[in-house]
Amino acid sequence: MADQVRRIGPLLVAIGVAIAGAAAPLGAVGGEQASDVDVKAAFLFNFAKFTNWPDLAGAAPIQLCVVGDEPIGSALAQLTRGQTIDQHPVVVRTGDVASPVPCHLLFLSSRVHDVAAVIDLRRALPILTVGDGDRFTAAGGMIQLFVESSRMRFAINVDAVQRAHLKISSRVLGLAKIVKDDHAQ
Amino acid sequence: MTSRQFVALLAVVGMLPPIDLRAQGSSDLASTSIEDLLNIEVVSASHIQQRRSDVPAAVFVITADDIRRSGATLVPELLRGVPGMFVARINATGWAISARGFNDLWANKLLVLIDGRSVYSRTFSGVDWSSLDLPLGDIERIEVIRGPGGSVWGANAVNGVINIITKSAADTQGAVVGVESGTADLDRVGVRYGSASGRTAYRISSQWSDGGSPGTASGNPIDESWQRWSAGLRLDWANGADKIVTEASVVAERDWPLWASFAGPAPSLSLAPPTSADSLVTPTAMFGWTHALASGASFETKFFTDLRRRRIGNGTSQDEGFGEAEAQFNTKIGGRHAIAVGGGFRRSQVNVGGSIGYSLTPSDVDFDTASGFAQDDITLGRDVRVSLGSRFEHDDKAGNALDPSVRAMWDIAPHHRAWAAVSHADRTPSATDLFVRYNFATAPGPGGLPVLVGYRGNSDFHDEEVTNIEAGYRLERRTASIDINAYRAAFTNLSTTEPMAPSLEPTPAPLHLFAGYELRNLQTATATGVEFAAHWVPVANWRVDASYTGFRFTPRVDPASRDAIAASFDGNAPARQWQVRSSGSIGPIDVDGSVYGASRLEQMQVPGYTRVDARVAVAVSPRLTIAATGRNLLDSSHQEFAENPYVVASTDVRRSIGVHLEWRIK
Repeated sequence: MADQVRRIGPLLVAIGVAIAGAAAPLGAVGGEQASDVDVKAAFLFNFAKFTNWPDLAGAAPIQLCVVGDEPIGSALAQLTRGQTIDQHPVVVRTGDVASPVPCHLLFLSSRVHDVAAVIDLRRALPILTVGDGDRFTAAGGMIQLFVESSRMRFAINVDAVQRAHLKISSRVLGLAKIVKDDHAQ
Repeated sequence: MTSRQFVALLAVVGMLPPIDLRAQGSSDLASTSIEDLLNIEVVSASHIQQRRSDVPAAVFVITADDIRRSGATLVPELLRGVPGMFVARINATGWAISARGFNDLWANKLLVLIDGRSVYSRTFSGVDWSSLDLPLGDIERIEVIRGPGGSVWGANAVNGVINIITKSAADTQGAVVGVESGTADLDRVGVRYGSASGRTAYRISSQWSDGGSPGTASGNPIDESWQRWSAGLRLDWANGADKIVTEASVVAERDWPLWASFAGPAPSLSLAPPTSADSLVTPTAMFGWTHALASGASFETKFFTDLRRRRIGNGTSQDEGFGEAEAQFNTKIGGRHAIAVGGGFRRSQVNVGGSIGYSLTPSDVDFDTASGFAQDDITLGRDVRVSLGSRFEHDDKAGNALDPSVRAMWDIAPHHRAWAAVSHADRTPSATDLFVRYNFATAPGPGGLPVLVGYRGNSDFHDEEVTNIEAGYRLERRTASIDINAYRAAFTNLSTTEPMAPSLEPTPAPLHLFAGYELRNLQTATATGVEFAAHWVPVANWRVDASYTGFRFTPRVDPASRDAIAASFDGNAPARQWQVRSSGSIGPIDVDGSVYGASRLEQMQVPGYTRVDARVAVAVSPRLTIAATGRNLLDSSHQEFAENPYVVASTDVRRSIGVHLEWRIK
């Protein structure tokens, strides 16, 4: 066995060198650039920060649910670790549409099948629905994330928000592309 | 673990510090204002990642929720009931696990990966399930892909690929202690701690398991006690377009040997009775880096190493070490093509020593394997996608292999999809296939010459090959899904065991006649089957899953073959398997149960059986969960598999009642 290790040794050294080489360009990254996954997660956290839920008791946790996109789920979990929103702890859950978890914010990725039906089921419930599919607000969703000239943008369907008795801060509404049911994207 | 092995492990772990340093100056998106977020340039980090129902292959996913509700204690138990898989417990530490037939302790047509790290053993082309001692709570999901995956995954992905994906360090924060115990099952204590700062998150977990309860073989008591300790580390670092995952683990096991020849009827010259327990030590390490480019393309590279050191109680040693480096580039061309190209290099080293009964000639075997692959996923119109791919592999012992595949998926209507695929895969020869020598027994021969009866590998052994045609249909709705597929696999160059003409051998002294068997490629076969899975959510807190597997194996033996049992080989898999599983929640109480049935193993003469497993868990508080499990409730004991009785003892699966406590400390 020692013999084997001796012969694997050079490979390990090669791996070390390769990693050192690979790590070098890392320092150059950062600043104004970030992955879409991290940026989407940061938007989700911000939407939660600037939304008022009618039924939120004392120190009840705010549950952020991510469906159909595990990378965004784990980015959001990492981003919100130890964070609170007005003394409400933040809990991130990932899963599928069928799992019965109460959500305050529900992110439905473009990969979720039949988004319209999923949303329809929660129509009058105070759940802030966010998606990154092409026709998310048209399907009854509240906030649609999209990329425009390499920047993340979002559209808000104010009718859908109103129906659910949610209040989104004017600070967020001011940055959004506003759509209504009949003109939804 | 020898000091050199430890140094090798440290060499990889020692690469961690740069990650920590870089974590400090990074921007923190959590505190970035929403106005500033609008000004960040986004780069896509999503690779050619597809949803399960998007993949034109027979795929089944076991989720973290399924794992928790299963009440299972070991990874193999989670795979039972997955359509197309056959899982049988041979004895306390031995498992027969395969997809679509060819099952036994050394099943060699299934590839298993943990977070992309292959745990393929070149000693026997299979998986040493004992060395996979992952805490089940650390697993995010298990993807089971049946059928050849050679075009993407390479050697050994003949009948299936199992991807075990562990939770990110960010998802396993805080401290958790778990304790479990069962009347005829293992006792275990496990701990996990996870923490994070800035862009870095890590977790460490460790568990001690004691399978100390005495077993039975055909009703007679047998010592099959074992103890296993494992520890693992995962460290994640992410900054914008870059993500780095580093993992290291070690498993140490001690088990009472079940090599049956000690007790078996065959007169054994060679395998001295065991004087001590078997032991296994397996340190592993992995480093993976993914970088997303502004163009939407991404680059990923991965390095891993794995050492396995097994000591058999009669003085035999079986050691294996390997190191592998891989790189992959993903990009999109136009709106239609998603391209993935990549390659890798692997060096494996196998050594067997210390025994006259079991050896390799030469005792040290090195394999160097280089491979490259390319895949193009083409979108044709709105409803059809075609995927073309191939992998080329060069192995210094096995030669060249080309494993192409063509797959297509058609969206028939909303919720309805059909897919079809034709694919080819190779199983490259293992060190055992090529160079093994077993000596079984001696007998007096003609003219006073002793006769040595044994078995040897064949350095001319070729790749075993399969060409597979399959098609499937999926219906996926919110509260129900149906997934059904059928396949026909044509195997060529399958192994047979051929008697050799007796020859004179001077060593080991004295001069003797060797009358043995040799490995050849003199069998072809056809396997056909149908696999079905469905789920239904009748009300919000209740879910029912069902699966069915039908399997038929038809061997054809070359007229030149004199293998006496090849013609009756049935793949060592039951013709029919089925499972129905119910998962429900009433407030803080989870109630889960499953019924699993397997039909008779014809060639092994193992009767069919039905097993019932159940679990009730109560979340006493947000921090404490108590679960009671009942396993194999229908009968006091039954046999699931009959490995060659001259080699390994097969023991009974017994009824077991257990408890499991999980306490989240912070």
